[in-house]
Amino acid sequence: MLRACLCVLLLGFPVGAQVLQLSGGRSTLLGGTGGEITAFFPESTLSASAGFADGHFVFGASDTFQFNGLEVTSGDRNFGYSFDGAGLGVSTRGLFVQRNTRHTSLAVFAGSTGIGYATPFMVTARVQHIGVGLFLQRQFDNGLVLSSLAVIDGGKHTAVQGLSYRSHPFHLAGSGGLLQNQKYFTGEADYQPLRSLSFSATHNDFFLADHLNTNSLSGFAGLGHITLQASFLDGQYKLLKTTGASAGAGLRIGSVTVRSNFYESNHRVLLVHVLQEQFHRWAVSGIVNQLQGQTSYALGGGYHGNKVSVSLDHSVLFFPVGGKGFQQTTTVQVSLRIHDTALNLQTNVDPMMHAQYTTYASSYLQGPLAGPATTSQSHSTGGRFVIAGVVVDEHHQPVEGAAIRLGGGTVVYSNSEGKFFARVKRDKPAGLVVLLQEFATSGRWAVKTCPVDAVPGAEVLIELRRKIAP
Amino acid sequence: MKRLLSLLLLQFSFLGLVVSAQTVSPIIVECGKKCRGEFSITNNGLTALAVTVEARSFSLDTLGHATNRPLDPSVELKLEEGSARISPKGTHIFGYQLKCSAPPCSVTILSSMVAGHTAEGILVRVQVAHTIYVCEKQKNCRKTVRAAAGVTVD
Repeated sequence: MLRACLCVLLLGFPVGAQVLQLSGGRSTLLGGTGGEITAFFPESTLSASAGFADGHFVFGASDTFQFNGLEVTSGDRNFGYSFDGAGLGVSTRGLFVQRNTRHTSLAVFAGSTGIGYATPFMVTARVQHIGVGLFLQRQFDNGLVLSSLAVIDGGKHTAVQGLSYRSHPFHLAGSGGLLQNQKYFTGEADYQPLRSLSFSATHNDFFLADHLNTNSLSGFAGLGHITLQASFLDGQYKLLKTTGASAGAGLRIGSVTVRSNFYESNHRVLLVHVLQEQFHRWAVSGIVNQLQGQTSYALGGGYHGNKVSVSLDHSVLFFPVGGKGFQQTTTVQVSLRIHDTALNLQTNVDPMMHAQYTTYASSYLQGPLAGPATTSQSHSTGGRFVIAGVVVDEHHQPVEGAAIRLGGGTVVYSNSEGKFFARVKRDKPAGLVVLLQEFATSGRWAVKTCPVDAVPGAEVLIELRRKIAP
Repeated sequence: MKRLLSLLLLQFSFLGLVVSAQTVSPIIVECGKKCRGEFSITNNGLTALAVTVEARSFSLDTLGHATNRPLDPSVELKLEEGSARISPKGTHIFGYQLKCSAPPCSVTILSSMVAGHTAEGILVRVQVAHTIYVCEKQKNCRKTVRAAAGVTVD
């Protein structure tokens, strides 16, 4: 019955939607395949997801709207909050109500809880239990913040109290209680006497099947072009103690950054030297790793443009469980944007050379209520030659927001002086078409005069006539 | 400009149409005499935006208020693009090269976009600014320009 309702919802709600967002993808990292459709209306947002996660068919749907100053969601939603070093996220299906004011945040939910699958392309849940939850946070003018979280998730109970206090240059925070039937305590102290000098100490205790505790002490200093950092970490779980220390220094001159970091854990020493250059939209990095007498080299970097972004990153993370200590991971990301569609691919490679990927696409469609929207692609390709012109009305006043398509499909818009330009690679005439339906200005217009084409280096004049006063 | 502001006030005060905030980053940069930079405009809305960019020189009064004027002859600015269409939730990067033959130069690049229409059909246009301070030396350029203008407030 519920699946039938979902199908009706999926087929029915986009018809009158203002804007539709469609997403779909697959992730071995997050363990799911599926898609989501979201319809944005002036007063509400409807969303439905379906797919497979860990071999099970999963689905979800939600409606979010405002009611008397409250944000109300019926359906699937994540009830997740973090504060003062601890946090909890529960996937829920039911009724969620939230109210935020300047000093107070209040959220409650009632319904069912279960296993959630939250990915960039799908948000679903497999409900298992009856659940209720309450989150309340109060901020006081003197820098004191009190937070409370209470959740019943089937047989798992959470009751957490947090307290933080900020008074420059100190920040103190701590929280404790019952986190899904497990006792825990966490504390943090920060001291930042200067913007470029800070120290931090943290302590965590988690009473799981065995006691897990972690401690860290870190410091950071910035001295003009030089940065220095150091940290000490230790963790103990199942009688296995893991310790780590790191220290690093960096030097930045112009667009070039040189950084050396030292990592030591369980008597293993890793040295990482990074040379990074940031130039315009390009970033290139050379990495040298020295581990127990062995040296390895890696190249990283990326390009971030308007249509394409590509990056290759190496990072060193601390794993307190299993005695792994500091481990290196590699991430490759590729993003493409074609019209209103974004395509993303991310691959993570862990130290054991296990590769996992996440790939998804997302697109927007304009519905009948959205009104006129620009639909053409308008990125100029760049080049040595400039095609330029000016758009005026019948009184020779500049027209702002007029859309003109140049040969090759590039669409440009006129500015407040009626002027437009595009850079082209070839020194040859380009056709001109005035796109009356694409104008980013008010009123209806007709073309009075427009040259057939434009020659690089010579300014063209386009004259329009207003058909109806705005 | 006054018309634009009055339209904006009318928009936000009475008509209640939701206009998503558009963002520019970075807001301010400091450069040496030759400057190659870029700024990005993010469309936080759900519909595509047509954005036009144009540059102005500006001067400051003692309260730090800017007065825009056409680009000074000492400023040579080459914008990579004069306009762009930004997808919903998308970001567009505008690149530029700037030379200032008589520093200091203060330049603002205004990105203008239609944020929506009122129920009555009045067009709401929003401008966001990317400001470039150019000096002989990059360090503390903004501070130097503001001090030279006699700006006493930060």
